[in-house]
Amino acid sequence: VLEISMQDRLLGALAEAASDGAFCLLPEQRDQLTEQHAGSQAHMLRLERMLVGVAEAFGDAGIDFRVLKGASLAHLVYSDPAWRNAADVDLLIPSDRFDAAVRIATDQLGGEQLIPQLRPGFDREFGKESLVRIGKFELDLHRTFVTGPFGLTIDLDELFRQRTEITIGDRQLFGLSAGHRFLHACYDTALGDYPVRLGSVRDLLLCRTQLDVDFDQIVAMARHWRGVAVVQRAAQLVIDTAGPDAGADFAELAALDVSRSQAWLLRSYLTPARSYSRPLASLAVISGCRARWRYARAIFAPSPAYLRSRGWTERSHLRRSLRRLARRG
Amino acid sequence: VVERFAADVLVERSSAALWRRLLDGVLVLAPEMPEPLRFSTPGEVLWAMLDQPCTFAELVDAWSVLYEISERTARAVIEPVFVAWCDGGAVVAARRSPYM
Repeated sequence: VLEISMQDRLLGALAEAASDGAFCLLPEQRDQLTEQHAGSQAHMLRLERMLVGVAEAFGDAGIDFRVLKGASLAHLVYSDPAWRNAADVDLLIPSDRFDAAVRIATDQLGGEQLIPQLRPGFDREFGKESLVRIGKFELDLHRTFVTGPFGLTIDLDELFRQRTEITIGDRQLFGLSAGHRFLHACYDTALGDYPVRLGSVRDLLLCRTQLDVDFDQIVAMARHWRGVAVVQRAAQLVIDTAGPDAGADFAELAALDVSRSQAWLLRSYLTPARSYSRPLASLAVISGCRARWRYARAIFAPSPAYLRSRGWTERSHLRRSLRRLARRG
Repeated sequence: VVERFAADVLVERSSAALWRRLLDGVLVLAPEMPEPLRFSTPGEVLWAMLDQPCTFAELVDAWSVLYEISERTARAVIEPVFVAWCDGGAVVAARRSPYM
C-alpha cells in the first residue's frame, strides 16, 4: 500500500487516513509511514524555501506568476498542507516574460536548464515548460498547462486576470482562481500521465469542493479554450477511478458532447507514439502559416544544442520519429 | 534562554518559518536553519502554543500543568527544543508584555 501510494502520489492521503483513524495500521506499519511522510514533507519545506527565493527574484524583476500544482494545492485545496506532497515547484509564467524568468532562474539563482529549447524562441511561443535545476531541486517554469494541441489553445492571458492569495512563510504569493484551478486539475488528470495517477484524481475531486463557480461557467471556459474533450475525459476518469458515488458530481461533465476534431486531438495524447503525434496534432491548431512553419521547423530540425542534450543527431532524430509514427499507424 | 528571553519577553513563531504537522510531531524550517528540524509530539504541542505570543515562563507553566509535572522538569524538557527554534530563527521575540 505504501509503495502504491508513493507511485500514485498519495502518500499524503495515506498519512491523512492513518491520522484520522480511517486506515488502521500495525505499529510497525505506522512507523514506516511516519518516516516516509516526514521525508516527503521535509522535501516540501525545502521546495517551499526555494519557492520563496524564486518569488523574491521574480518580484524584483516585475514578473507576475502563478503557483501551480503541489505548493498551491497543498495550501489552497487540502485540509492540511501536510496531506499533499510534490516532487518540484511549478510556476506559470506569462509568455512575454518567459525568457526573462528562465534567465533569472539560471543566471541569478544559479540554476541549470535541463533541456535546451528545440530552437531559440520556441519555448515562449509554443512550449509547455522549461525545467531548471537549482541545487538539488527542480523548478518547472510553465508557459501553459500541457504539451501538445490542448496546451496551445488555452487563453493564457485569462489565467493572469484572476488570482487566489497563498501565504507561504511571510510571503504572499498567488495561485490560479478556483475555476482555473479546477480546469488545470482537469488537464492534469486527462492529459498529464497515461495511465492517470490516482493523486491527480484526488486533486480534481478536492478542487471540485473548492469551486466557486457553477459547471456552466467551467464548460463555457472549456469551450473558449477548445478543451471540452479534456474536461469530459477528466470527468469520466474521476467516475471510473473513484466510483459513481464519489464521482457523482462529475456526471454532468462526463456527459458533455465532444466534437470529432477535439476527439481526434485527444487521441494524439493516448498513443504510445504521443511524443511525436502530439506535435503533429499541434500543427492543426496553430494559426498562421509563418507560426506553423516555425513550429514545424523546430520539431523536424531542432537546434544542435537540443539534439546534443538528448544524445541524438539530426538523422537519428528523423529516423526515430518516422519509426515511432509508422509503428503507431 | 533566561538571558535572551526573560520573564517579560514575549516570544512567538517567526512568520518566515515554514512548518508541517507530521504523524508524530512537527517539522520546522526557518530562514537560518540549513535543514528542517523534526520534533516529536511534545514539540508539536509547544509549536501550537507559540501560535500566540507568550513568555517562556508561561510556556513552562502551561507545560507543567498539561503534563502534570514540576516546572523544573517542564523547563528541562522544553528548553532544548526552544533553544533550537530560537537559534534557527523559528521563534522570535515579539513585543514586550503589556502586563508586566
